[in-house]
Amino acid sequence: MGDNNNTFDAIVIGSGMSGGWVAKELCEKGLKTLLLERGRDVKHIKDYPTTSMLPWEFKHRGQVPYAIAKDNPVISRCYAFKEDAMHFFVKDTEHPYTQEKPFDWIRGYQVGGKSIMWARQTQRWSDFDFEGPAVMALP
Amino acid sequence: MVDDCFSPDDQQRFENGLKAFDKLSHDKFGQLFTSYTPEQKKSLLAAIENKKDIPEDALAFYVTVKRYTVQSFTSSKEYMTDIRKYKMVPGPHFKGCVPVTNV
Repeated sequence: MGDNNNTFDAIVIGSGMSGGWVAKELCEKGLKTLLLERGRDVKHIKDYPTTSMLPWEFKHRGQVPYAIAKDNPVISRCYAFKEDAMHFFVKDTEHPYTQEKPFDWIRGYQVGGKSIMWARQTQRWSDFDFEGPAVMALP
Repeated sequence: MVDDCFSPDDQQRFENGLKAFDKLSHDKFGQLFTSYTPEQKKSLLAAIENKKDIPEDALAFYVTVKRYTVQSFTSSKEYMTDIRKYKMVPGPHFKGCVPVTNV
């Protein structure tokens, strides 16, 4: 149906932590890959307004002003929703959703998704971490 | 911080606390805290730290002001560069894998 220009081996939806890596791996394996991202592009330097700021340069030393916190109760429960990264979060009022059971949906609509807003801490895992479930699983 | 980051309720509590603190300092040495001699200041602050007959509002005000004073000082440029030697990227000197025998 589609012409060759619109035909792909793989289509990855979302360019976040998972989608970004999937797209990279698929491309490196030689698959014709389409990566879809609903959010804006984030350009180096210009789209990171707070990255080079020093801690004492934040007006409220990282704390989110009351008016913003009050309007955004859901994302305010995310540890990373602070003065230095709050511009990357989807505001509660921008894309509301129905919560039948409590569920804090923390979203970042941009290239890189929520990988832009994490705390930059990674654990160095050992073989034990990967083999644990198999070893510990009940028969 | 109080203007921007406090809820209206907390702002009101803070204001009440400020008034209670003024009254407390006036009752104690007949003038406002800001006019105290250093010795008088020490005496009142010690009494507050020991929570001796201190109205709840005044105590809450004191605790809030102290908390923000400490936070402001320990996150200031002077503190983080002169005292704590703030490094924006401390990583290169971090050794994550050290033999136990060297610890």
